[in-house]
Amino acid sequence: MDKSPTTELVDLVRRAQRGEEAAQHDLIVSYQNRVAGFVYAMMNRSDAVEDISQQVFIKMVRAIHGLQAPAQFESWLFRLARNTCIDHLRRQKLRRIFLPFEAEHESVAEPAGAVDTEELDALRHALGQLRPQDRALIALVQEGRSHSEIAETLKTSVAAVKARLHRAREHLRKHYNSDHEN
Amino acid sequence: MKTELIAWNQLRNKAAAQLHPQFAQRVMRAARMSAEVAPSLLSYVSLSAATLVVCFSALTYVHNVSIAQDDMRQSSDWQQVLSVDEESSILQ
Repeated sequence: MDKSPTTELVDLVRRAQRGEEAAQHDLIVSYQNRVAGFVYAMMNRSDAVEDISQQVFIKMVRAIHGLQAPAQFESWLFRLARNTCIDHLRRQKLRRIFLPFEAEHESVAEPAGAVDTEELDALRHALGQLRPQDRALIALVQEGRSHSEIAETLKTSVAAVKARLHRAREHLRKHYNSDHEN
Repeated sequence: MKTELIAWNQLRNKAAAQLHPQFAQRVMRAARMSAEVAPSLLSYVSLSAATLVVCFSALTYVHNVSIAQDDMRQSSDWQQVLSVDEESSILQ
């Protein structure tokens, strides 16, 4: 009898929880691109993607044994990713209070030589206009998380998620369209 | 709407391109190293207990030394008083 993808994932997570390094490695390989995409959407800087994604997966390896429901691994992983990004953004904000020039350095969003397409540039600019919490909401939806999963991740109600998501999408669309038209 | 979807795909592709080809191996290595370096709860508790013992011992030592000094000073004062008293009784 063939195993469903969910059963396979649960098996993999259980093996990773028992400390099997091969299973932990496979989980990283399976999710690294999705987590990187999420981190990029949150941080809006491509040079932060690898470092922060690495931190997310290190946290995953160290904390996976405590995950109660292996079937909810994806929600849990993206919650880790969201919290790691928000922590980084908070620290950046704090650093700016003590080191005012830091903001100028951080506004150099992309390393030299990186050329984005018009669409990506517009999306990045539009994401940059949103609050980190709203960026997280939109990035979680883009990752295929359901409203109830997002509500659980953000410890809020489904209705609140829907309302916030509606507003965030409106903002994103407005900024994306204005930037794309320019 | 369609261009937005294209943009999201480009964003994902660009993010994935930022990762080192051996990303997973690197993470595993880093996780192993951080597990070795990170102090355990037991080591935190042991360090706190050791600090407490050292502080308590130092406090007790300082307290005992100051009490002994006070005792010595007071007994020498009493001896002085006694000798003055003896001298005055002899003179009388």
